[in-house]
Amino acid sequence: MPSPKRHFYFTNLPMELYNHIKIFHIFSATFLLSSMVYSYYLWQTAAPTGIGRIQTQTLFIILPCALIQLMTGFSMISLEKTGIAALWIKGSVGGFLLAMGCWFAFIYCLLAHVHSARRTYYNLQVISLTGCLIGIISMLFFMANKTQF
Amino acid sequence: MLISLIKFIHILLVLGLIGGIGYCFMTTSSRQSSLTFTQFSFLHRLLLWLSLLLGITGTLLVYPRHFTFHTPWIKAAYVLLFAVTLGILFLKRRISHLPPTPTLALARQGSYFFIILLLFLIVHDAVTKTTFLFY
Repeated sequence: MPSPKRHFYFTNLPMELYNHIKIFHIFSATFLLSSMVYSYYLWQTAAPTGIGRIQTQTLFIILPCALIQLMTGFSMISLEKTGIAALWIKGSVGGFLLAMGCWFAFIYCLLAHVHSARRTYYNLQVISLTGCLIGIISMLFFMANKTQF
Repeated sequence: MLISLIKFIHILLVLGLIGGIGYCFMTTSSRQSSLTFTQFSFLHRLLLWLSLLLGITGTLLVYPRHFTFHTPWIKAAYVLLFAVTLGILFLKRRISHLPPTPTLALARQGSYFFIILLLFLIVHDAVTKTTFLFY
């Protein structure tokens, strides 16, 4: 039985563990993004009745998946042993934090808009979602091209 | 830079395809479907375009990433993507037009679940660079 192949930056850990974590990371990212897109669809079409569903999506899908993303992401970083100083790690972690921060700002403005009919809250929701989109795109770009940075 | 952009688009398409199929699966699993027939049809057409673009961007990435078309996991990915496209086409053309019955709902759920499994295999092969289909 041949020994498992090791990537160039691995020292002792088998690659299987890294691959399994990576697959889990990809699928949790898929659920996270799908839930965000669905919430955006609800916000566009079913507001204000869809607010409860957006909250449920955030609480039961987006938040757990975001935590799984952080856990699996940092597990992979520690397995790679490249350290967090690499540009692509800084970029993707920064993008993730921006996306999550903007998403929770969006939820806050959404709930504030229910109690107050001020136009400012709607504008803030649009700005938050734009920030979230920028965060996600930059994060994916850095992660997709980690060998370049 | 162009290859980086293609890979970025490729990953976005993968996430979109898995998310779209997952959304269809969840919608057919729920008792009250929130989508009309027209919206379902539009979603299936979108998924077909996504799978087509996925194949094109994947093909463009083969040589720049130092692989060949004889690499086993790449051959497997093409076969599995073709199966996924056929599955979506089948759901679009055949099952979506029929009136909803419990048996048909179960068949739809099963089909979506099978497509998700195929996509899982593609992702698994792409991450591990190994496959069980070809040697």
